[in-house]
Amino acid sequence: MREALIVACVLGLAAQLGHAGGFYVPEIGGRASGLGAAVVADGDDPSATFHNPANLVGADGFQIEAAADLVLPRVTFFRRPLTDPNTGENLHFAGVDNTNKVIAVPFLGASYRLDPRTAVGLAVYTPFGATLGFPVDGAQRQIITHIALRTIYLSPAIARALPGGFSIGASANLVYSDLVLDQRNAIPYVTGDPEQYPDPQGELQGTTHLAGSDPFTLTATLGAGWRSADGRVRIGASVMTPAHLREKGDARVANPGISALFDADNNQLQPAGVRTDQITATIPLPLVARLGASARLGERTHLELDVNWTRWSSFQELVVDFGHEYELLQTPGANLYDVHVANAWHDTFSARLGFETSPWSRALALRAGLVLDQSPIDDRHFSLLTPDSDKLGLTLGASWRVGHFDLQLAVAHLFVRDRDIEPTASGPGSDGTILNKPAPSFFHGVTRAGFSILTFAVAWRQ
Amino acid sequence: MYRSLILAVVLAACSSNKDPFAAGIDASGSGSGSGGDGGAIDAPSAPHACVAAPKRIVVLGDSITACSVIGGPQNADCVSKQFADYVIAHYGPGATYENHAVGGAVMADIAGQLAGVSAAQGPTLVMLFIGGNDLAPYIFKSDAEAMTAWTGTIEPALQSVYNAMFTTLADASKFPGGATVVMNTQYNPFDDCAAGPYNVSLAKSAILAEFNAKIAEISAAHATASIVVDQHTKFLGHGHCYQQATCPHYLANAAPYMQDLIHANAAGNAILSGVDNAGADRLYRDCTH
Repeated sequence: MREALIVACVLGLAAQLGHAGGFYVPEIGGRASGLGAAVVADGDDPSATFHNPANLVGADGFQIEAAADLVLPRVTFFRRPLTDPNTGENLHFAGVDNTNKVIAVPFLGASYRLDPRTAVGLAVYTPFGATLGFPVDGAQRQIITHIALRTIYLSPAIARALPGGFSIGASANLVYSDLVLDQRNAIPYVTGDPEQYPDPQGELQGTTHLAGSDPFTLTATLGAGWRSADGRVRIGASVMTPAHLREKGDARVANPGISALFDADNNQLQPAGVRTDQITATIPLPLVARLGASARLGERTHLELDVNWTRWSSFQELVVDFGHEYELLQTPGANLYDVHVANAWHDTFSARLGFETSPWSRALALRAGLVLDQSPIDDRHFSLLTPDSDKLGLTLGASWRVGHFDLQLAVAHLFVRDRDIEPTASGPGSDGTILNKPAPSFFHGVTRAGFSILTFAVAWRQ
Repeated sequence: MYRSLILAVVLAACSSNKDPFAAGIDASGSGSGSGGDGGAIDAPSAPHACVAAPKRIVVLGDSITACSVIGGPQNADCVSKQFADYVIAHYGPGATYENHAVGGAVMADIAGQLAGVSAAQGPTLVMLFIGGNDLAPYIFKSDAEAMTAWTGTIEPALQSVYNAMFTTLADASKFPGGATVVMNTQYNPFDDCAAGPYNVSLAKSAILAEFNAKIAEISAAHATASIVVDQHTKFLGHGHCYQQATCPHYLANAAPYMQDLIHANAAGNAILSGVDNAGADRLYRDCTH
């Protein structure tokens, strides 16, 4: 199992920026991407392992699909100008853009009908993730210079048709995940007030690198479906069970101001300028409930409306637990200590509308989708760590069948509501985000984002 | 709700990435706080009354005298070791060296360190370097917080801690031969200069000056049992701003004395011990009978 996951990593499975609320990424599979992921009721292909395993019973024979999403994120942050309390200088910060311009997110899935009532599936995909990089000298550097949360799901699934048009299905999700977070630090923040040093320069600055992984977490996806006798109406529902990722790894904090660390016998344990420690970061994956209804509007046209509910309220706090909490300086309080970042995310709904037609030939299918998606993050808890906001998504897709092959293409663009965080007494960062200390001015500013997604897929059907 | 969302995102999609803060902000120019004259004190240079040659040297204090980041109290570069060696060589042959300093110690810990000193015959020379960890938490906080801490907490503690120390040292059952204290003032790692990158305000340098003046005042009040030595002046121009030509104590080609943010390097320890050694000279050689 572990080897399979490693192979999957080598194949290039990467996370993308979450663009369906928080860091949830439901655009999985070529057809689904063209339909705005509105496929919970009608999605009889290998990606059903993720969207609704019950739909696998509708997939004929043996099918295999390989897809790649190319996510083109664009995130720009303009930090609000302020006056440096130390120097009296007016600080104006240049806008910063994310540095990673393309993120590849592969999907690989297969399904096989064992008998008229039973089908199985197997898929590898990344339904949760976030990858963003920013300049190491940018105005956002104390919050983030790089973040990469990756989840890789390996999901065997089984589905069974029941009398009366009903079907049920389930997949077991074996999850590998890892997390990398990089920030710039500043020695005055260790014992002092970050607000006194809103733009630290030179030797005050260092780097903080956190990296951890969770080799195995188990979740499940349960699904059910119903189709009318004539097959014109279908209803589907599925639930992804929640889980907690426990990313265990190391922290490396470097800064010229850090003292060497000695034991009681004056043996040097760690050199000056750097401190390493073990960390554990716990990240909840939310419960996701999906309900969809589809209708065939004639022989070659299909419409589906889905509603997703995501219990993001399970993500109340991000905690990074340092194992030894080593001393940084020989002065009280100057040590590594657990960091608590308040999230207080909210449960969210999203609505997904998909339209599919084959106007000229059954070999050619055209698709379109519309997505309205709430963000779980209010202004109070917004930061560039997860620059999510309410979104409107438009998708277009097409597929062309050539023999046993199905070539698919989809494009999507997500328009993201701007975030304008103004200075207030209780804004983000006011309850302690940089080393648990209030640092609101680091969060004040305007964030503009948008995402385009290109999906290429090839499917083979027996 | 979604109608407004659609409107918002469409508007957002039509907007450019023009910097919304291009016009900047109103300059308020709050300045860097009130200036200070630095932390130097007028250390008494008049000869001290001679005291009996020490039978033991007791070091109290924090990481500076514990030499926590420079190899420990027995390391040849350690200020305390150099001081003890100097005193033993010149004024107290056969004297013992006890280092009770602890890294991270604050003023309130001195009583505990003294409690760990066992009773012994003969005169005791105490070398004390404390207070840096009481001041350090405010180096990178606002001037207002630093001043509040100084007037509300640190200064009163300074007086009471030293009073308690002198009471203990006067206890003939524990120090039957008497004890004399070499009281170190604090050096300023930032050279009494508000230059970057640390931008430690002159107001904080002024607080340090008050701290050092208070040390001198307390020593003067216990003149027969102590002397004060000025570590502050010797360090000026050799701290973190030693290459800042705009700083008032800038010296061309000055050697740096800092090892990390708050601790002296080997060269700095040599300077510290030199100042302490001069204090010993005043007690034992250049003294008045």
